[in-house]
Amino acid sequence: MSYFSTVGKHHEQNQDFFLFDKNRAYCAMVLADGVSACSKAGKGAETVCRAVTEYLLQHGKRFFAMDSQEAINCLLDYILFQLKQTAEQESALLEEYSSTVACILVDRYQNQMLYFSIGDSLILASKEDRCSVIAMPSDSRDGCCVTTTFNASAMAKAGKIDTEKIHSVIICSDGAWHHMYHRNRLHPLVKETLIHQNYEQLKNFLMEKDRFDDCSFISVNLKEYQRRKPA
Amino acid sequence: MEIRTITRRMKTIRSNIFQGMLTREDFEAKLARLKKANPSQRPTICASLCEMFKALQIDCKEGQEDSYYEQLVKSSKLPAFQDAEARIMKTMFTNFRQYPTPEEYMLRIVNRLSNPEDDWQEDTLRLRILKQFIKYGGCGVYYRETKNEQGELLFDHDGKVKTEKVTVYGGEGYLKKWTKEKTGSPVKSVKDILFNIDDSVFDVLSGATKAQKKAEGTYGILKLADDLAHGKFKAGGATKKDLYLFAMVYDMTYYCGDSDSDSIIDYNSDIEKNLFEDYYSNNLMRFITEAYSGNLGAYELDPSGQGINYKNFAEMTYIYFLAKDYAPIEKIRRATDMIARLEKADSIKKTVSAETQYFINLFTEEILEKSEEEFELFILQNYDCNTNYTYFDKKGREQIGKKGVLQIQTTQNSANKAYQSLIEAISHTDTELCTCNYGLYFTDVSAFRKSSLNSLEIIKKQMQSQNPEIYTEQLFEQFIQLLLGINMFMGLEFSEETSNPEKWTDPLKDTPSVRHLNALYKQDAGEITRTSLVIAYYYYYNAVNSQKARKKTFIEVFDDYNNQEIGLNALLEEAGYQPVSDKNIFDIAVIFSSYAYLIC
Repeated sequence: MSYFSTVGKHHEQNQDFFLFDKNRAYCAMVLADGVSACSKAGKGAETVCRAVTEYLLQHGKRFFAMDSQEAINCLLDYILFQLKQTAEQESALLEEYSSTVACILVDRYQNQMLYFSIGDSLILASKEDRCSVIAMPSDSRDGCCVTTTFNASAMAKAGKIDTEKIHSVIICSDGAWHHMYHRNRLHPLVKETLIHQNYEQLKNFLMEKDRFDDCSFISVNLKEYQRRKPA
Repeated sequence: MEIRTITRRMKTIRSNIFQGMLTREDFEAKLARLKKANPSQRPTICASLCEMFKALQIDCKEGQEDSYYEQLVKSSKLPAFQDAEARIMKTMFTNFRQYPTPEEYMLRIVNRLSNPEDDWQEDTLRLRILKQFIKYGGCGVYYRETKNEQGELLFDHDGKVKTEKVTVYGGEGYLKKWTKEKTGSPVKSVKDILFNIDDSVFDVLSGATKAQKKAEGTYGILKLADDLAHGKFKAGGATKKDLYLFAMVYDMTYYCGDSDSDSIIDYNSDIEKNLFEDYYSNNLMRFITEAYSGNLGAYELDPSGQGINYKNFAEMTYIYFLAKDYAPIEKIRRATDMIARLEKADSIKKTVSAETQYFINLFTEEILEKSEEEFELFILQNYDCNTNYTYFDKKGREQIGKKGVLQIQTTQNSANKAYQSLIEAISHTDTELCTCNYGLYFTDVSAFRKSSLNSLEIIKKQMQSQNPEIYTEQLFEQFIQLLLGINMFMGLEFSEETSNPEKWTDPLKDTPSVRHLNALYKQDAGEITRTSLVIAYYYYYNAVNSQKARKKTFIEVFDDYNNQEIGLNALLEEAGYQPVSDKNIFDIAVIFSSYAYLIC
């Protein structure tokens, strides 16, 4: 597992948060990007990461049995429930805790993975000789959809995919993927880096950029966490 | 993450529409649907019900039991049913100016994609576009190496390769002359033009001839910038060419939709989202803009709404180079040269697949990665590049004519199939197709022009008294222009003249001679547009539902149109058009009109 996170030049605090955790059967990896205009965005991102990781690991089997829309509704309800509790405890408005969230849940025994995303983060898979987008950043021309957006379930993405040909998965905040892409295509150097899982090189690449926004990624090598079923 | 202006306005509109239209019956109908819903449908219906409550500023929680919503409907003060036509007119009048005009969409694109270092923000929109073409698009001209018929390069006496000037857009000479006259010194480079140019450079367009305003004409580049800035759409593929070259000079992007690729949609620069969905559509708001006012005949009135035509070789060539990492002028040069070569090379008419979907599937990420030689060969082998067509002259002799490169392979078979199925379905109802011409049903547009009825004065007084805080004479004028514009597509206007009984087709039925609504009598698959499909659905929907005993509520009509499986949206998707949208005032007017038809 590799990660990177730096605060943007225009920000006082880094409002990106990410988490990786595992149990016997599953690995969960989550990244949340707090909305900079909200006063509790950092706390919101952290709350969401903790809630989603715990919930996915606890109910992995149920999630893999759900269809996409059910998984979206279930996760969103839980996220909102946790955010509301935090907001009540701190006597603040729920909207102040807004963030994006992107996550994966990997089944360590089966070649399958669940993904979920609200907002403009990117989930990308690296394969033998290429990369492919798992969850694309959403359209932010109309304002980015975040955890507290009304009817967010209609704009969230989720799905199940076969991981047999996937070596690793990376989740990037918009502050990171904006640098990794030139126009709408993955920078060739970044592509090479991801295929070879050379994350140190990716960190150096990002460090060289003018990072106005918080810039984070977290990646996992799926093969490292795969287990064989006991005979 | 801030919510940007156009979107903020659009979000308010939906809420305002609901505020103006919803009655207790709508809430009760939605509640009944919620009770019957299966578990996977519940969240969507719940969200929709909450959206309705929130539009009326009533707090509502998602994901609750039926009893919660039942109680909320019972205890809330919800509007009672009133005169539907009056409510629609008021809702439309108070909201129509919030719909973006093509000019506003264009401004949004230019603002996002301009290089801040150019510092042209204070200029008019058309001047900004012109400057972009001058600086990044080579002022509309480039030089091509000259070759003989065997394809060998030609050299001059000094051994240099001979070149010829290719004019994509004319106007370079005029711009130099204009700058020289303004500054009194000769123009050394485009920098001199860019530094001195101002909006008065466009003054010459008002007195220009048609030939001077053509793309290659003396003022071609000025006309291009002026048309794009004001959303003036030209027929015959001219606007499409302008849009592709605009996309190149603004370095826009293309996403091919390949699910196994590492490319993403860059929503800020994507050509399809920004130019073909938002800007180049049948946006009726253009009827209230100065450019269109009283000048309808000059422009393309009903763009097909199809977006990129994947069957057309020239469009695919533009897309191929748009996706490349060249400087804008290189993209223009290479695309223009390749299109010319392909047109010349393909002298035999090829039979290609009729299905657009075949061509969409064909044009993958792999194609974009081909070398130019490979790509040219791929196009020649798979696309019809022959622009010749045969016709018969007045003496009955067969002649060969030439179409524009963007005018070939424009048939839309899937759209035509959906359209013809609706026309066929109307014939199975009690409604005769020839009577489907009544147009907007919440107001009598024909009466607007009948001075004896004083209809406009009555509406004016209503709008004035109902909306004193926003009413102005200009706003009212624009509102009427918009209704006339919408009705021009949807229905016929009946004149004030006294009917002559001898001209009646059926005197017993007292019906005047039948005039057909053009939108319902399209025979050619190349003529189908999104607008004609929406109108066919409108008459079909009204015909089918008017036979039912129970009257529909507004929200039921709204949901029927938006239904992804059996509603208009399903047909639009099948045809490759944009779905029903709150952003489109035509769609909203059609839904309002169906509602009015069904309850009156």
